[in-house]
Amino acid sequence: MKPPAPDTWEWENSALDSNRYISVLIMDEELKPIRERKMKELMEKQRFPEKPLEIKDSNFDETVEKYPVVVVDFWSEFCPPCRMIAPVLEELAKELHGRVVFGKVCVDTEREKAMKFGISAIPTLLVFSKGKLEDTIIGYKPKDALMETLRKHMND
Amino acid sequence: MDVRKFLKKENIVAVVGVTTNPEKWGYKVYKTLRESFPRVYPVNPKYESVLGDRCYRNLESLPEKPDVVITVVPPGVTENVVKSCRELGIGMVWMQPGSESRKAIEFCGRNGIECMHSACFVVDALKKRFV
Repeated sequence: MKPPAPDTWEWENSALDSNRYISVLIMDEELKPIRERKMKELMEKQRFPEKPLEIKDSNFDETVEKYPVVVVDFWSEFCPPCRMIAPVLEELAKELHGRVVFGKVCVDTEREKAMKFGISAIPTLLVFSKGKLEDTIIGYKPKDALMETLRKHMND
Repeated sequence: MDVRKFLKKENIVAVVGVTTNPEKWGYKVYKTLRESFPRVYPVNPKYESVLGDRCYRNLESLPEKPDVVITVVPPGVTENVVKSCRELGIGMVWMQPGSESRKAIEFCGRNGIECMHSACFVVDALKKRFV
């Protein structure tokens, strides 16, 4: 006689295995919310951009309100420290993907928000948390220093 | 530090390291500032005049004490400029990118001189001008 398929065999022939099946069911119930949370996190992360976004005056408010933490870099291509900080921000955007969103506002073309926030030096990084301005970083800063400031605004 | 106080219209500004070469930063900074600030002085011992304005040999020879000194000189020169600032009681120094020196920054810190560095300034947002 051909032996039954392993699952059926275990189910039909072993009380021990039946218990295991039940415990798997229980575990599955416990894991469900964890799985759901992980899935939600994954989907959220995918929604976050991995590179700094180009922000215009027209979509500034909507962008800083869209994500929990947004760092906006006011810059100009004629400014050497702005060019220095750009690759650092790109690295941070990758490393903090899913937690912090980075954006860039070019002060040559986008004046309205630069004026509103009184940008007198570039680069200036404005840190928004839940749409509210929480921190200002002026001038080129190395990655470690930026990370230290940003850590205060990240929910770990 | 409130950066805006460096760029108040009523400030007397001295630009150390002004040049007559339109390609150079020292020219661009001075040209932009003189269009935006009523009282800006060019400083460079190499020139008699820049853009038709009298150019001064050093901070000591200026007709009035500046509120802000902007350096567009090599870092080693900045270290001497900040010493002059202390002697003259000048409270704000903005080291333009390339002119900053750790020694000069620390000197400012020790002597109560407010110091901006590693940043370009944006002036006169209404006129869409910046350096």
